[in-house]
Amino acid sequence: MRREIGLLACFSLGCASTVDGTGGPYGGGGPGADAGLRRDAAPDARDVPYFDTNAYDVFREDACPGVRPPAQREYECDALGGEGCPTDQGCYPFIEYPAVRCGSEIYRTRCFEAGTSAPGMFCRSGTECAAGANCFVTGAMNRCLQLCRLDGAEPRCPRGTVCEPTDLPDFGACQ
Amino acid sequence: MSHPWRLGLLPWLALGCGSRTGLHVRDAEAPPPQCVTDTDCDNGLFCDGAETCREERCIPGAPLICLGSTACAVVACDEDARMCRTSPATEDRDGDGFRAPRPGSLPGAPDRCGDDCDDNDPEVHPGAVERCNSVDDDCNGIIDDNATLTPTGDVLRVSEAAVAPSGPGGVQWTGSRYGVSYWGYDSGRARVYFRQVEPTGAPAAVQQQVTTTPNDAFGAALAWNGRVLGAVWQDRRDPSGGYEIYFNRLTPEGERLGPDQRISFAPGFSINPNIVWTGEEFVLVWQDERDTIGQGSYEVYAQRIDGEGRLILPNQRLTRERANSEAPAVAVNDTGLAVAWMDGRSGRRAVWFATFTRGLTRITADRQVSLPEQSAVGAQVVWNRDRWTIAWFDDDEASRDHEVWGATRDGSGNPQGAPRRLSTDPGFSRYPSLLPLGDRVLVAWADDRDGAQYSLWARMFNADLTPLSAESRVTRTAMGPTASVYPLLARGPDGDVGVLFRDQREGRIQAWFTRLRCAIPR
Repeated sequence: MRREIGLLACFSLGCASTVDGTGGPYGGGGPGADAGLRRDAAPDARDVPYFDTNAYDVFREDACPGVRPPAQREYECDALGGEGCPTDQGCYPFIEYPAVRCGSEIYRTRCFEAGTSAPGMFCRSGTECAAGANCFVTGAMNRCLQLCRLDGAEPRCPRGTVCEPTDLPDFGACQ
Repeated sequence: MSHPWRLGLLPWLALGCGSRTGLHVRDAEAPPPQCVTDTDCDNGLFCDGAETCREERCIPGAPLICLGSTACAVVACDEDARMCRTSPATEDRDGDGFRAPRPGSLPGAPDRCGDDCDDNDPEVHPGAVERCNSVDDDCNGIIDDNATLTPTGDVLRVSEAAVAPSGPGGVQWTGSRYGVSYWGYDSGRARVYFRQVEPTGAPAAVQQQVTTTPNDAFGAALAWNGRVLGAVWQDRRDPSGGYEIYFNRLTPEGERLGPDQRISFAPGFSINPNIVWTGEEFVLVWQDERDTIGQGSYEVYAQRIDGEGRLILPNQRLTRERANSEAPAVAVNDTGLAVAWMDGRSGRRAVWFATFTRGLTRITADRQVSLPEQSAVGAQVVWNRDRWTIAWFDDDEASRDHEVWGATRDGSGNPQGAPRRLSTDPGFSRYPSLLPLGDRVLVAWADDRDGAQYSLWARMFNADLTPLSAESRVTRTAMGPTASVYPLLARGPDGDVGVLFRDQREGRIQAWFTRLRCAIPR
């Protein structure tokens, strides 16, 4: 019955996400709580009758009619190659959630001051992790994991670990 | 004894009107006597005893008591034969000469009164020839006795080429085909898909897209109830961006039977769901961040859902210790549920175990199953006839032993010996999957004995986890980053076992399927 799922980047959402739209202690928008990325800048999605209000809600599948906007990618640096950032910074990928209901995620990379936690160490946010790694929800405690390419190209994973898909579609993580 | 009394005529004539007996008028009005002799009272029935006439009144007889009844034989009065007769307490409905056990007892139990473990199938009875069919034909408590499961070597991609990366969600045999779920990316979004797989292992028809919403979804774990599949997954269609648990029922073809039902409504992540069918309900378990929002830790929650998809009571928290409780697995037996999960309360990652009633009332306290020195993750649990079997792997990056381990617990949750190492490869062994077979348990896992690549292996163990066979290679590595990982097992037709797994042999990470073929030596 075991199921395998992609690793979830807690870097930008998992460890801090809330359903009330306030963004939580990390802002929910990305490392460093950049105000420009905060989810709570958007109108509260709960203002829209997206779910019924009783305890046993059923999702309305017509809540997002029509064509969905495609996922966007806005990469400012190379998180896998480690290029595009000053020497004391690392390139971290993260997810910016849609500001409006039925919107689309934006997958971003940006330079931030590099963290010190090596792959394998427990973490709460991505910028705790050293450059080239990120913080993931693994199902076995949130840990820094080295980023990798899903196509098997460099950077590859150390022996014993597998390049796992994540909810950052262009990035794998060694676990 | 409702037979009407036959009144005698003579007494009435003797005491009737106009007689000169000196009786008072009141005496003259007394009811006529019921009888004069015993024969006047005979109701013609044997088993209710002999009626007698006493003082002109009929007295019911004492019902005949037949002695000698046992749990398996009822001695009762036979009205037609006018005697006590002995008849068995159980039936032989399928006419195979063997009786079913008494209701509420199992074949082999004391006072069972019958050992036919399937009284609706004349091919199943004590002494029948055991065949590869995933059935205990000879009712000895063992499914497919002495069967060998040999990898066919055929591997077929289940997820369509455009859906990548993708990975296993769940696999179940649904009567005529395997039902397979998997998640996969398409156009930058992860969705849950479903596909049927033929008994031969060939993907059938086209894949169904289970989730249609605009945001990522991962899963789905599956449980089959004989009519429909229960499917549970996580997705973040909720505009807040957090993952929540969703459920739906699917036909064997993968058609949804209603709108997706959101199961968790909580701050933070609700992820890693698992599901079991108890015979009456689906029970879902998952890890939930609601109690420690922002701390990066989780507790295990559960939800009961009836066969029609109706929720039974709200979400229920199963783990109480404030610590990371993650990636729960769930199994069911005749009386309750067992949950195994990764727990961080000791400061290390360990596998813990507890049992619950089917109503989710706790039976046993949390107990650590893995060894104290291990960094144990990937918990699995199944019920194997008379015991719980738990497996995990040691993920201690500082250790040289990264092996698959297992342990058993009795029905009360008590340990049955020390944990055993199940895999022998000196490298890395991971991702165990268990298939209970009654007297044995099949274990599949991934290990990297081929070098840097993971391939799948399987081995049969007896119920106490002693090896019964050599390790068998299930998949071969190919050129490039093959990495066969995450095997999921399902019992299929003719005793075969279906294996859903993740593989990268075509360059992209996708969901694949292979089989183990059953044979019984004669």
